[in-house]
Amino acid sequence: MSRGCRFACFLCGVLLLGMVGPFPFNIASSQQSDETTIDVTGLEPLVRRAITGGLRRIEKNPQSHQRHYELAAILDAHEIQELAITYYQKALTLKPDHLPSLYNCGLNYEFLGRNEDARNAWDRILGDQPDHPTTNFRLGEYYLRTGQFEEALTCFKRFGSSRPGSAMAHSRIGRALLQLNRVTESLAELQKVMEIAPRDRPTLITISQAYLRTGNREKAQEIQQRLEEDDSLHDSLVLLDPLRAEVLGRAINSNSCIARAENYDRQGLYACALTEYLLAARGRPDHARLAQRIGVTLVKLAAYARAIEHLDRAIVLDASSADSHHYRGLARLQMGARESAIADFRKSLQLQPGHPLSTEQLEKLGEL
Amino acid sequence: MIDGIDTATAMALAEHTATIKLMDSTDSLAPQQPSKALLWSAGSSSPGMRVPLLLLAIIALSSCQSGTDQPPVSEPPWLVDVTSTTGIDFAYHSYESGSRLLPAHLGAGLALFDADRDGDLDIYLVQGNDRLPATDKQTRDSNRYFRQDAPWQFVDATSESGLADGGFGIGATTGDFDNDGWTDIYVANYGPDVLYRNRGDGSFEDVTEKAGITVAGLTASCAFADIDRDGDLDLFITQYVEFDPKIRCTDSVGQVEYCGPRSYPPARNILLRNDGTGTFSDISTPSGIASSPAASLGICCEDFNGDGWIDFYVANDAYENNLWINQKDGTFVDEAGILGVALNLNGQTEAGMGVVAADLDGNASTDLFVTHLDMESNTLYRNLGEQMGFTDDSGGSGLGTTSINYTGFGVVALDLELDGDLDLLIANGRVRSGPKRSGTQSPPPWDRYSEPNLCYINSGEARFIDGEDIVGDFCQVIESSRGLAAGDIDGDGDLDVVISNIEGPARLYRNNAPRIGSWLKVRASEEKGGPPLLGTTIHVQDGDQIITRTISSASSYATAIPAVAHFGARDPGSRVIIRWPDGDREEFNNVDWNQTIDLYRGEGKKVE
Repeated sequence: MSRGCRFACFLCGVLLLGMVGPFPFNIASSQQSDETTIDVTGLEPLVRRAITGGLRRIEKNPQSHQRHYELAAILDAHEIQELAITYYQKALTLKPDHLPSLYNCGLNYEFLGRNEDARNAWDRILGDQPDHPTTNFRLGEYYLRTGQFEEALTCFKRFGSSRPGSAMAHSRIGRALLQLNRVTESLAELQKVMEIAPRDRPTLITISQAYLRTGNREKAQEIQQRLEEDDSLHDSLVLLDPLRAEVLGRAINSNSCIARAENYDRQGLYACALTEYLLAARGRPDHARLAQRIGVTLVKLAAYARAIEHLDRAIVLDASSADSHHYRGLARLQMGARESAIADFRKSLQLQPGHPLSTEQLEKLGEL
Repeated sequence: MIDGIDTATAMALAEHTATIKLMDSTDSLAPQQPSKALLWSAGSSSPGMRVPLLLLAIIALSSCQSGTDQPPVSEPPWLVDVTSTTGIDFAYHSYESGSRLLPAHLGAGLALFDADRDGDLDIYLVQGNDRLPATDKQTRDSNRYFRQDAPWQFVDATSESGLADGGFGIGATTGDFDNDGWTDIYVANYGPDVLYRNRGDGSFEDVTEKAGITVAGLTASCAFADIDRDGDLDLFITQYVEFDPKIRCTDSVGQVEYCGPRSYPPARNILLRNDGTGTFSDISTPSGIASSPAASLGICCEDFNGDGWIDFYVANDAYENNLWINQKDGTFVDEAGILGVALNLNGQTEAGMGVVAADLDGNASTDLFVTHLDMESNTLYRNLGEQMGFTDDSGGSGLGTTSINYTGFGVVALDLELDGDLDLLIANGRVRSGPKRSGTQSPPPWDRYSEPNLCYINSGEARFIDGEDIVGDFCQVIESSRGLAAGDIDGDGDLDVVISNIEGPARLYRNNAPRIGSWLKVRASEEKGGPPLLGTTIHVQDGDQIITRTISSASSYATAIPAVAHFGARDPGSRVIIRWPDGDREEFNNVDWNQTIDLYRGEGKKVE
């Protein structure tokens, strides 16, 4: 079980046990001299509770930079950026060299368009740790965006030195070189990306541009042809960024839960997916597709009776869903209720003529 | 070739002038360009110093200006909201009831065009709808047509014009599809689109069915262009997504929010070929256009590779952009990737909304500027010329990081102060709820989607500085803006502006910018009384520089712009070179400035 799933399971347990009490709509953080008010009106209950919990932990230990950082990270994970910055700064007041706060504070500045503040935050990190990988990466991106390509190249090279063999590093070095019109060097770097991540579509696109710049239009068009025809190409580069992942893992709103659930589902980790879906449903109790996904996941887990309960609810919320009928049919079939299963499959076909899975089931049952 | 001007044309223009200036960042400091030097130094100074320096520069320039007909006016603001005195009382209604259904936040564009051929511009404003499915049309709040009867005096002529479409409106485009000399209008809807034929008597006829048009998806922007050089206008229609009202989304804190494009299946764009008999055939699939499903919004068309055939650039939301290069046989190939306009410089897709194709760096080739979501920047793709494609110059141009906190939709490139280079105006408005900005004029919930617009003054060769304090009203009103068009509404030679807002009034801004140079408006037609030849490129001289503009009616976001080329110039030349849509060139000499001229094909001197 992954760390994220463990965290979700734990939180789900806490919520299900009802250990989190009621909360005020406006919560004042009064342990600091500069009082901060967080208006949580309208926030999803899960998010409100997370924020409330963060504030209570600060109240218990107002001199803890870690507690301030944790609340900042919760706010950050839910894109409440102005307040996240406030709490990152409070953490930094208590511990000026706290790397996660400095780094993520910089990112929040950047999201708000406060580019100079972002750069200053990251410069502070590099003052102590000149080779800090992801800070160099972020600064490189900043310089790239502001048209300072030599500076960007320097940062990306430092990032690459600390992450040998990183496709992301070669990608960014290649792009900076292309902007500097050092096309041959750029091509060499971009080719290294393709050796590591041979299906990376954006890099292939940039390579085609680089060839065009060298005057080799034929080669560029050859790549273009591949881009048109090869469906297996995709955006495959991911920045490994532990400092950011630690923050984003704190997102517990419905969207993030659903996103994680879908990811688990794709990996076949249905129990983890179910936990995330149930968490999401706490925030959105009347969401038909969510009820359906819970039901479907329960079918995958062979928990047919519970699946039927959730699919019943999904159908109450949205009677037009062919999938909900189909999966309830599957669950009923497994429970031995052949006739009602057939009725569900037929309803699914009625709602979505040609529904392939329902058609297949009815054929198997000799009903088509 | 990618340049909008080739060597022969450049040489022809250069006969009586100095050598064409090469692109060089130091040129903006060259002694022969004192104003630009001042403007540029203002750009590098502190924000507080920019405005005084700019105004000083403009006033200084104006005082020593020779050859201009009108004395400069120095008092700001450059754009003044005159809506209340114009007779235009239109507000786009989203019918937002808390469900946050995607078509509502798309808002709507507009059409700024001369519908009645009386020489001034009329305005068609597109309206939303509260009906789902959108096949139901309602009339209590239809699109409206405002006819301009005198400068800045508009009359609501919706009823008599027959243009009161009650569909779920998104946008409009204009063009004379039947070649009768009267500009027709195509309305983009969520639901069935509508083609209106201009009867020429002040009224329009719904000819959608007669023309064989059955477009019924979620259409955003459209463009009329003659793709096959058969003399009639074909139609490119962007489709956003396969919208499903049952799909609902929430934001990062779990509140109901508009879904992004990736929540729905992508849609396929549509290309309709004009059969020349008043009907259109759907050639989306055989042309190749339908091969790239995406979430398309903005469109512009131009002969991007200079081969005499019209191409299309499509701004896609969260998908790679397309640059459809015309293969001259009814098919198109997407070359956005190799030409460097599919992604940003980090290789990322962005949320393309509005787009403008224009020569922003003054090197006589067409650049592309695309507006995007907040947390992304708007992107300037600068044309490198000589078949080298484009480069993302958002950072170096000053247009990148300054836009990262805004969501851009409509965009226009216009020479506000007639100094020979193009400035930029951008209509902003969020698609995700955010903190309410102080001073917002939108009602809830749109107060949380409102943003100020952006204004950039070109300080020379695509280096832009924030013009908020100079331009004034346009950048200070905080609304949720979408459609944006520029045109010479009052006929005084400079470009005025119209903007549409969600749950807010459409606004008209009169250009009061101090005039640095002279102006020229050029209409180009096959013959007298004929329709404007969309895709015609026009080159004029400004001292030792060449200014290039292309006639198009499709630009911005879901919006139609006047099919007229507008020029400002400090040191205007008397020679005009036209590159007709099929690549043929003619030159016209002894052209006087500060007027509107009509140029007809075959009346100029052929340029080889």
